[in-house]
Amino acid sequence: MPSVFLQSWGPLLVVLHSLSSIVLCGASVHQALLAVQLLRRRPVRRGLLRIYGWTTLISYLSVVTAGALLYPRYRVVIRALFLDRQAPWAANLFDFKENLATLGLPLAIGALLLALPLANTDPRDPEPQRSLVSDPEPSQLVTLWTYGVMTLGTALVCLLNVVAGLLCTAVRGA
Amino acid sequence: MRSSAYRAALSASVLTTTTSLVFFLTGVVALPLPLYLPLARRWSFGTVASEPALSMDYFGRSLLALCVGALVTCLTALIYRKRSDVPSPSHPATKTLRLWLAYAVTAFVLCASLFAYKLYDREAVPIELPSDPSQPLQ
Repeated sequence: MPSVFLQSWGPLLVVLHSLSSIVLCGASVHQALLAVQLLRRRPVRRGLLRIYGWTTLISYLSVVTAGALLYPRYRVVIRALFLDRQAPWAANLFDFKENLATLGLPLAIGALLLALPLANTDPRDPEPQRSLVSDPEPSQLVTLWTYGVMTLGTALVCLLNVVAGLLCTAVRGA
Repeated sequence: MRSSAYRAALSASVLTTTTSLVFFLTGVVALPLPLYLPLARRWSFGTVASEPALSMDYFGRSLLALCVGALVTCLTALIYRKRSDVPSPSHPATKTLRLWLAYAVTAFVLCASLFAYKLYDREAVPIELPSDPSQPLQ
């Protein structure tokens, strides 16, 4: 069988993909929990909004890049030679996971776009950690809801993709 | 903070909506896209159906959706920046944000549902791979 792009680098890329996805899951779930705290009008440390926003987006891009580099090898060595013949459900689940990953990227970017202004501290504010939650205006409340949707969506996509990825890897290996 | 948070919320919703809608479109219409042929190790342009060899359209579909999403978001941000000089009451702004958030959630759920439906019982067509490396590839 002819070799495909980066075929010999496959195991290293799989490890990189897995490590990045562990970081991504942790960061995205923590980010979603911060959003839930904000929506429940509980105080949060604003610096964490920025930290988790950047960590989530950078690890998301790292996972997507490693996955994209692995994809030609997966398409030929894993899917065409094994999954399509022996376990088509796993091939379908894997493709759903890939499509969901593309759909989740704007959510991660949107969460960071929102985290940056939300994390900006007004030096004149005596209680900066509480100012977001004390008595938000309607437009501020919708902004918080948008942040909640973006972060919860990102976390949901990441968790679903990790489960799907583990299931597919359990069928054929990497 | 409020103005920049408003702009960010609008941009996030527009980006999600546009990307999801374009990705949805690539799932229902056979658009000509950049295709990667992993066996031939080259790129081509067209539809999956027109390409006889093993081809991957995922990269092309994703690039198209993300690029259109980014372009529309930048245009929206530019338009909003020009209009932001005009003072506007808070109620319409809140309504606009709510509307775009609803669009974003709907478009995301619609697109994810489409691919779940399409892939739920997709029947794979096994492809014969050349066993001899010296054999010319398509």
